[in-house]
Amino acid sequence: MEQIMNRFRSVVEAPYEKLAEWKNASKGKVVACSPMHFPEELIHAAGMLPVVLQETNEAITSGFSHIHPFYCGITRNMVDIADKGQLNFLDAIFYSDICVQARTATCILQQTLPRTRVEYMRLPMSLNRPNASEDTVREFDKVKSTVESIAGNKIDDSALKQSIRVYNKNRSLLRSLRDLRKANPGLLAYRDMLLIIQAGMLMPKEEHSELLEKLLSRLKKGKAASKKGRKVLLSGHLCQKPKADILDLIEGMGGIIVDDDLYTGYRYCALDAEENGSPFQALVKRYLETSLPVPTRSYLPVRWDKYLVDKATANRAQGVIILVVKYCEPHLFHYPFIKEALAAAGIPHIMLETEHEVVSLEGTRTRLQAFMEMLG
Amino acid sequence: MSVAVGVDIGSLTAKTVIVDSDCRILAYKIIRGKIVDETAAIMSMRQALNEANLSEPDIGFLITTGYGRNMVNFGNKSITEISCHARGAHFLYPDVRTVIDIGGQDSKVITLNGDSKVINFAMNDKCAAGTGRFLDVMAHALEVPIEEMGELSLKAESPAQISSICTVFAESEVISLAAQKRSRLDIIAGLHEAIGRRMHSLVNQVGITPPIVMTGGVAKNVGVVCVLERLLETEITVPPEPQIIGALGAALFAAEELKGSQR
Repeated sequence: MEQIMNRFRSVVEAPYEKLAEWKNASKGKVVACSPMHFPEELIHAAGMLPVVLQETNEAITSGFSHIHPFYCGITRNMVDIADKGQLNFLDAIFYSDICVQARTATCILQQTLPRTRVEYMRLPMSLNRPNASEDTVREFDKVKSTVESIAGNKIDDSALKQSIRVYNKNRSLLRSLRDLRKANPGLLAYRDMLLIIQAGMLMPKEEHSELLEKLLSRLKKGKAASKKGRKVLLSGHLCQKPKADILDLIEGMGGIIVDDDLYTGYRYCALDAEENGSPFQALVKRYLETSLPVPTRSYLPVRWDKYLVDKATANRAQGVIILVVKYCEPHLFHYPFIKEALAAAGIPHIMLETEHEVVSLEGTRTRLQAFMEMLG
Repeated sequence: MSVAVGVDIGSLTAKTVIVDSDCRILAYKIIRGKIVDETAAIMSMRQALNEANLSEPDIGFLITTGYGRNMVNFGNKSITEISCHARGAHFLYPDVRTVIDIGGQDSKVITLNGDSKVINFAMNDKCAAGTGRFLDVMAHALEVPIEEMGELSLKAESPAQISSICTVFAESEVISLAAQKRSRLDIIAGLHEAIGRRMHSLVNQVGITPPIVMTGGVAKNVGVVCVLERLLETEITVPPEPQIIGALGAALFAAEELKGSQR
């Protein structure tokens, strides 16, 4: 098991170095996409390696000459490492309209990465308007053509169907891991749980699934001491993985993380695409009929505040820990509604603002410990 | 005699409170040091024990609190200063619903229910401006004893505008205002206004629920208390010794543990 975890760690600890090594060794193409909405299956079906852009721990230095300090950590970090040449090996980057900051990042990367194709995908914001479906089809079609031109080959339906199957299998394995851990939280530290999910964004899905299957079979045989503590739900971080130190602090203080709605968490494995019918339409349908709350989309079937109250109730969480990335406007826009809804439901919560730059962990420790004491 | 002890290890001071099984305060001690470490914490504990004619074997249960609560190698348990200030303030003033605590480097606003249970809290998390350390630096810059700042500010005619609340920048402003021959009274009053404004926004994060009790070393500064009363439009109660409320809360929690173990 340690061997599998070490493989995942090696991918996550130096993501871009490892990807560049993979590219050199395989002579394949690597295409990165921004988190949340991009249909990675299209890149996979074209025979390239899709990866999700990851925040690194590097201090932001030269990137400051391109971007304001009031942009979120991952956006500033992407601009900075691109400026330092660390993304030069990528064959293409697809940003999408996850927020206004992503649009700015696209423009900057187009200038700082002249040899890498940097594209922007714009999808309808109001998912229930009459031409939302038509617009999504048109945009996905445009993306498909661009992906084909980068790959140098066409994406046919059978290849796309196969990619959907590969991705669905991977998501299903991740959900099994989540269920296993939910039933026995002592089996896996949350930092490891999220590390496994993150590793899957940076390596071939087939390899990730193979390792996951082995890991799951070992975990199923393993026995962990039953864990007692205060059950908490984690929410937030829509693009980047929370810092492991914060997860360790929560668990170190007797918190049992019962579930999450993080991007590098449940969001990444929550939604499958249908395997029957047109594979292209299946991707469109998954986007338009999402069952997850998305802060930059309107007329969704579910509101984020209600979703969190329901999720906390279903998981019998005693409290909710909300991790807000500093300058994440979409999250901050929704936070007052979430705060109100949780208060109305009698569910205590704590909001921790996180930054790319290291925040005093001592202050966070006190706040988290006080929150745990508050939960009783 | 088995007593319950609370030790609050703050950034500027170490405080110890000893209570008996009936929660009567037997002794307390405040030690100020350049570096508040385990030695200072032990010193405050031993001096308090001496005052109560007790010795270490008399300690039945000891709880540490404050920013240094996990840095010392003694004590049976640690509890955050947030829970301890709420518990201590509620013991003295059972009706209290909000506690404002400004210590050496932390400021907190805590709301609690009738059972002294913390309902919500807000705490400074990015910088220590507006705390005891801030006042320390300003007192030094103005060459005024810190304990006199409160009374002096009440004599101010027109508080100066201190635009920045960053300790380093505010110190520059203070020096600059002093160089412009602005009265020290006005400068001190301006500093208190700045602290008040900062605390007001922290209070707004959890909401104002009177009665309010103010604890921590800065509560000894009558100027800051007056500014806060004006900004919050409500009366603030300050305990006779606001600096020991965290240690008192810890001692009360320790007394509960002691009772529990004797049952």
